[in-house]
Amino acid sequence: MSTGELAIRGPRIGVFEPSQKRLQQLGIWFQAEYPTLLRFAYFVTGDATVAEDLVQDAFVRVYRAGGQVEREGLHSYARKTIVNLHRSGFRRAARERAARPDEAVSSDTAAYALRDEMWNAIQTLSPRQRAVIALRYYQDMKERDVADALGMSIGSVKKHADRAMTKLREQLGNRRES
Amino acid sequence: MSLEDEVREAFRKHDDDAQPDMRSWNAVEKKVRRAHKQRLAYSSALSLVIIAAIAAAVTLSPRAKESKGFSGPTATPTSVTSTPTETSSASPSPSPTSPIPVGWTARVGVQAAFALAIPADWKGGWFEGTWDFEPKVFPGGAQDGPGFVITITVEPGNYDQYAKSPSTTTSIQGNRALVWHPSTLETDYAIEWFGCPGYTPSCSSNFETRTLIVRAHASDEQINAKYSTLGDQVIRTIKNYDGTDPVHGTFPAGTQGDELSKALVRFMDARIEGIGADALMSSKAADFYNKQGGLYDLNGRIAVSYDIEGPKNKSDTAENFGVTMHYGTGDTRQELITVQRENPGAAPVIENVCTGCD
Repeated sequence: MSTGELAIRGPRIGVFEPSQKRLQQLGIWFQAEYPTLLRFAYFVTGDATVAEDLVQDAFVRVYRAGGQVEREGLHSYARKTIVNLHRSGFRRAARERAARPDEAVSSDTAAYALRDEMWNAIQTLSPRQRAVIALRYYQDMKERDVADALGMSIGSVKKHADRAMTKLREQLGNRRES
Repeated sequence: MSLEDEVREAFRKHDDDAQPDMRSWNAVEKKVRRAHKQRLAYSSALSLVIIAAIAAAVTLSPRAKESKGFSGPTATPTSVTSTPTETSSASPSPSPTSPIPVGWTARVGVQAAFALAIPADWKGGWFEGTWDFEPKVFPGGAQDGPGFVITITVEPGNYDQYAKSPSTTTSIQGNRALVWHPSTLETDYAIEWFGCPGYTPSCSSNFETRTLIVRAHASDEQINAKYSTLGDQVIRTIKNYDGTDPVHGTFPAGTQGDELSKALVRFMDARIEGIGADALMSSKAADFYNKQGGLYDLNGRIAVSYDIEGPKNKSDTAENFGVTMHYGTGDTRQELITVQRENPGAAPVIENVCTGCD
């Protein structure tokens, strides 16, 4: 299958099959938004495998949520779901990574990350703090937009951003002093 | 450069780390189909429970026993008996407990009380009540792309009600089982499954026996020929799990085995698996992990194993255990975990946790 098209299996008969129409809509959303959401999930988790699983699971939730997604907007719903799934421990493949710590550390990405002190410091933040600063600084979103995107109050966004930046400042300060 | 700019720069440097693979859609579609079926099954089961509850309430109601003026013959209740199928009445054929090959990885499904072993180049996980295990070479989504996957679910009822004819009897790690082939690409197993839901010491009065349904499915004949024997080997490692023997950590020899110790081992194994530990602890313990870096990881560092020390303060209903948690980065953390049984009929829970205390 080329990356430009998504194969939706043909119509099936029976109540045990999901709605073809909703599945097609999901396929359209997937094609349009998967790369962006994957990047966001990676920023929240710091792990490409876990991010991939989270995005897949988030799309399943999107399918099940039906009209709620249209009311909230796909981006907002999917981002909130990614953060919440990650926080609640829905990490399908995390065990695979956990079982191979040596391999994980020896990968090119990990070696690169070890040299990147800011990236390492970001990894020590909570998932919500990472989500907030990723949207705030990587995507240059305003606090109100971050609040809408993550289903938080503006006060919470400010609190998470403030705590994240304080923690980063402390960590980098300590490392640079030592 | 300001701190904000440094953060921005760090994200930009890593925005290509996770490469999108559009084949991931196959896995999404498969999960949607599975979640849809699961939901229907839950809804049907719930409807039956509600209907049964209403019927029971009506039957047991004192008013229901009063005469309504009809004086015809009353129905005599008859006991409902299940007729075992022909295959299930036969004693299990001796197949057995095959030794686990060296280098395989132990896994545990804490919510369903099973443990198994998979080859080192396989992966596994849980989603929406189904465990699946498959070779890492496949992207996931065996239903739609090339692949071989073993799925495991726990279903209510006797194991012999699930098998389709013709089936053969076998025994898997001491449990009776039936095996049948719904198609040339699929082999299904129904394994008799014991133990009360939630690891309670005694099952509730309306408890039904349970069955572990295991399906091995290949996407095509070639893959089936390559993996079906290995799949059967994996399935034959499935055994009961209750926390007596730690899967992902250690417990001092000779000290485990009581209900409080087993509850702790289940909790720790679930943390390493990355799923199911939330349900085994109190809200107080949950608060601790929320504030102190995470239950399954420590600020992003994944938990990989644990060592439990023997109980520190022991009583009949509560014990404190010292636990060393090991993370993938090589870091460790000491936790003092209190396991408590609130009442004799309930399984013990993780009541409290603290770090830096004895």
